[in-house]
Amino acid sequence: MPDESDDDEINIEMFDSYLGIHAHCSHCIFAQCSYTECPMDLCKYCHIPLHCCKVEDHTEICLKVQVPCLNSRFGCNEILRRDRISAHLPSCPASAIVCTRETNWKCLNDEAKMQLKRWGKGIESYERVSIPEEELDVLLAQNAQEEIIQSYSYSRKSRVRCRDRINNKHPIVPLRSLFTDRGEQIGPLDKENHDQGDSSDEERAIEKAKRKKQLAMFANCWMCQYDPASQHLHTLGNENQKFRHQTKKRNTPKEIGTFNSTRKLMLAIDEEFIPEVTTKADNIYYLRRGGTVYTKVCLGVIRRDHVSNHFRSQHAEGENQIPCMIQRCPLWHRGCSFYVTPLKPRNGRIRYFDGCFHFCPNTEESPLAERTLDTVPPVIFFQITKFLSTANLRVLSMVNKSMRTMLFQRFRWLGVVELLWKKIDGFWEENGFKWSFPKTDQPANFSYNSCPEMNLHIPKCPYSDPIEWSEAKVPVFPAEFLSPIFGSVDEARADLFVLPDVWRGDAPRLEDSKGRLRNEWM
Amino acid sequence: MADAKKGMIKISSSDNEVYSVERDVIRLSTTINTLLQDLGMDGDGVETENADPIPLQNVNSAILKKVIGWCQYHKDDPVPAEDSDSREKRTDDIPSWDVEFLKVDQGTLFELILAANYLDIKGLLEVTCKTVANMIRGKTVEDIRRTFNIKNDFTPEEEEQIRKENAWCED
Repeated sequence: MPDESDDDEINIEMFDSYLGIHAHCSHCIFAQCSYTECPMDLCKYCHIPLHCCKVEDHTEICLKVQVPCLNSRFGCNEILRRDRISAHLPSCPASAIVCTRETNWKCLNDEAKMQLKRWGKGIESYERVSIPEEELDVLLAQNAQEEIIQSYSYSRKSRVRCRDRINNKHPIVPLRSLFTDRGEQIGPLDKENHDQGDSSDEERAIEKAKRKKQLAMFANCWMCQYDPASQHLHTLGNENQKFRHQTKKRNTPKEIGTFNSTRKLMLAIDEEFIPEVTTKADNIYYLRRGGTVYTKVCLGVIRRDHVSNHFRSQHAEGENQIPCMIQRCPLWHRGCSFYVTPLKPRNGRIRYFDGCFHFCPNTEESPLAERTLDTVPPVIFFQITKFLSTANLRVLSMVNKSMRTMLFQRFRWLGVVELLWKKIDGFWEENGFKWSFPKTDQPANFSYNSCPEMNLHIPKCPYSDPIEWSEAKVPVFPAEFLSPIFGSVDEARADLFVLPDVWRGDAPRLEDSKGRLRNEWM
Repeated sequence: MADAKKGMIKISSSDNEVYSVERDVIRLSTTINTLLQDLGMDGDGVETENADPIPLQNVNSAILKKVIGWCQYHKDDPVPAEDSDSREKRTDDIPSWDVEFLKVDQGTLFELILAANYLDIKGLLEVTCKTVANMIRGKTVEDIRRTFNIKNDFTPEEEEQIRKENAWCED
């Protein structure tokens, strides 16, 4: 067995002879070395003295060298010192993740679904009803509805392709991008190319044919399925199968209430809570009864360090908090539009537009002047952007051309960048970068307020339809009822109770074994 | 002792108006503070009364007066912690005095930001930027155009495209 230390020595000797005059340099660790064959040199970045043969290799690891960000392949243009990369990475615009938060929206009924299809296919034109900005629940549902209408503008074939095992009735909206084999993106269909009828008809027809086949005489005979050509006595099997689908379906007329029809809203305003892993199929009651539920996914590309702010401002304290932020009159479904807002942010309000929740602080309008926001120097604009969220920058970038250019050329690193892909000959290839400002706002400070207005409203609600009882009241409690908490019923209310004569008079007082007085009625 | 010998510093605005400001007040401006330190005018015995005023070419007298007013009120403020580069700072913590102080027209507000940036007064820069940020936050595109009197120069097609997908693509 060869001695390992001998082996190592031989290798080092061989290596040194290969290095020649630089054999010394490979072992030298001194800052000041008198070896003259390979003189000392300074790294021009960190000024560390090295033998000059090592300087080039040193720049590969030197912490002071300016290098592109690790994510430069994914679009980050930052060039920074190597020792600052770790501090940069958490806020690197290319370090982005996709928010897959889902919300589910129930369609009111079949007629509402047909209306969504008619809008989507362009048979009828959809016009957004303007909603007051306080009605966050309606605005959110309206936004979801517009996404659903958009999804119906695609061909049925595309929509079926976008379905998956979890969402096997209606694909997740917005639909994912579909491409043809040649790599062209499949877009929405024109109005003329849509089938005019209910496209679910075909599926229903298949279902019906299947049912009919099951109902056919001897449909359940296993011999017929095994060998239809053979002569045999039919085995009738489970006869219940025949009658299973013959139960009569209740066909109550379903209406879209005035609340929804005045707002052109075909979705229920309250979000359905269905776990993301639940198959949207017959396991859910209203889907089994023929209802429809649509799933909308956020799909926001969010910078890694903004994820918590995004989730809080948009989902946890946005969508999920709406039942607390706006509480409607219990008779809203009859058309009452009264509501209260118990949960409000301090010093401001929450607004929902462009598919994004924004916190709007209370400010006073300041008089206009010549110098305004689009003429300030970029250095000042940068100071202001420090206090703005990416949702605010997103809005600012839509104001005018110069703002848009300034934001997307000088300050785009405040947003995120993602890679674009193109399908060429069946293969995906990188196709440039896309910069955007994600829908992330700073979370607001919320506070609860009591809302007595609701209690005052309910008795006066114009949609209230109270039942008046004209019959005489039925006696229930004795008048001299002594409650252990409230004592006796007072005189004013005593006449409400009609007592049998037997019960009238003072309740007999009894003494218990310990001598305490006790009322008989207690 | 410091009170008795409080040095007065003279500064002149772009329109040659000269203001005498206490050394403790103008300390808030890092630019002037560094200037005085570098010129060796920081010691107790240094005579500053008869010195030439410090010319501030980028600040006019109306703005300078406001800046001095702000510094005077805030001269005893603790020195703010060194600016960590964390984003998403709060904008709802403007002191009420500053809110009143900054009830001015937008021109003055932006001039104040420029002056605070030039004179490097961190507190004033922060509070003025917060005020402008509050004017932007939570507003729709139309609201911002109206608030700041900005003209929409997008064509309807461009605007439609931006509304559909607000992104900037490049190869």
